[in-house]
Amino acid sequence: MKINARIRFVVLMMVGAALLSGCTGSSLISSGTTDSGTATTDFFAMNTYMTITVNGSDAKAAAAAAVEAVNELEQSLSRNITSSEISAINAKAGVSPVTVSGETYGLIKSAVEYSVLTDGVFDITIAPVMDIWGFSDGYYRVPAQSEIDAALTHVDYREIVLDDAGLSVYLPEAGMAIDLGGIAKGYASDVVQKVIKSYDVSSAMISLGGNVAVFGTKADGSLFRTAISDPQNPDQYIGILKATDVSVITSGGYERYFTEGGVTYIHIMDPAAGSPVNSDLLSVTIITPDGTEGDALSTALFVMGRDKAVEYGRTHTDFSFVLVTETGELVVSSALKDTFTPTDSSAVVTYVD
Amino acid sequence: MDPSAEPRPEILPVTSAVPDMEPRRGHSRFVPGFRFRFADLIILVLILALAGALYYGISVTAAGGTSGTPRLEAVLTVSGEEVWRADISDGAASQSYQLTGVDGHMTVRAEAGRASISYSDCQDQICVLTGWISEAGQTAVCLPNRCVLKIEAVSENTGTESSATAAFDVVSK
Repeated sequence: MKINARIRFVVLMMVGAALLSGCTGSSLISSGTTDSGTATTDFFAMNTYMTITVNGSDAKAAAAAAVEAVNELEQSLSRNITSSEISAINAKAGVSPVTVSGETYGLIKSAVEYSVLTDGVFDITIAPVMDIWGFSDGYYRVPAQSEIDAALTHVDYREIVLDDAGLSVYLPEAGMAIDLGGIAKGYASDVVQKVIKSYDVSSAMISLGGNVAVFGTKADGSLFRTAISDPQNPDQYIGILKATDVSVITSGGYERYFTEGGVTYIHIMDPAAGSPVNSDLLSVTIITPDGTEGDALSTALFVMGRDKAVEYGRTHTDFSFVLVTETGELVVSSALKDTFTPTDSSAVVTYVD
Repeated sequence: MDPSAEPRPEILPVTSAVPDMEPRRGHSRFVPGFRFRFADLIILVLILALAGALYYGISVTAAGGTSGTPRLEAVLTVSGEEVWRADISDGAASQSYQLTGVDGHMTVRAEAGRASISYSDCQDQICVLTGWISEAGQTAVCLPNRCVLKIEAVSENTGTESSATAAFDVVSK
């Protein structure tokens, strides 16, 4: 009798203890099963290095589909691929309109819209200028002013002829060419997110050559922490953004440039001057749910310089930014006050509307 | 019957099981026939300790194993295949590695706390311009040579990439 009672009691306590550890431990144990998979894949595409991390039961399939989507996109949009739609448009400059896919047409149309919004500071017809400076093939050189003037005659987004009904694009002058390098990666990140979300996944973290997009939360429920590179010490960061469901896209001259005769020439062109821009900004980071917008505006605001960029941000409120000026000042949209934390507590930070 | 009135007629060993029909002082109303003793306390403590150890063991495994700060290593891959790995923890010796990729020669350097692509034949030099990288997750990439130099935090226990890394998850640059 007594032994039975003792056994009963012991069993009762064991059950109680199991329940206890089960209650506190269950979130830990089950987080492995409900959020069962994580797939990370890295690859080269669009002239850069890309990393995609997906969490969720269909993570592996989603990541693989995302890679395929980027590779397909590159086949349509790359100026370096002779069979691409962009190459076809450029080859027929001054000859005839070229009919393209709805997707490519839409992206070119968006690019032109950003040109209108930024008064031509963003301009995909800049390709001939990039070519003479060697930024297209890596054979950097400082061109003569006469070459610059000649190339500039072909730079004007208003010349692009778009036909909404026929989905055709026409560059009316021989020598004109378009390059989607300033917008394609941002667009690709939007496509990647859409593809991943069509699978059973909970979150993803994407970096297309430093163009970042995140959605959902990490396995432990916390938000993704996106660091923004310090343009003066790219190994370091100027701050961390704690957010999700955003694209975080940075433009700066510190990654791609050449030096000749003691002068540094960065890859970001001023379409008006036909040469690398002399901006008082070292980097521009755009935070927005729209990756295409983030990519186009990060380049545009860099060219605009601090004051015009701040003014643009004031009058266009669908995005936020972090600017780093040549004096090391951080200019930050006030909407980011609670989500962006500067690394250096002694840095000069100016919040703007 | 008053239990404290007079001693029992029989002298019983302390730990013996007494088949007693009537409830005695110290007996629980909820578990008839059971009296909470020191031995039961030991059992209870052991069970809770086991539950605690189980909980800790599961949480540690879920986190990928731990033994303090993970060690940093520089890893070099060519077309996704690992070709070289160097320890860059505090006090690590300086090392360099030469390779010939599709676009020419490259030199990679690693030392305590950092690594870099110090030389490349490639045209755009973006890999060399990247300079030193030092935190887990950072990369230096030579696209023409299909080469990626990456800093990884390696867990001591499992020898695999630990999830406990730097103060960020991804870098916008």
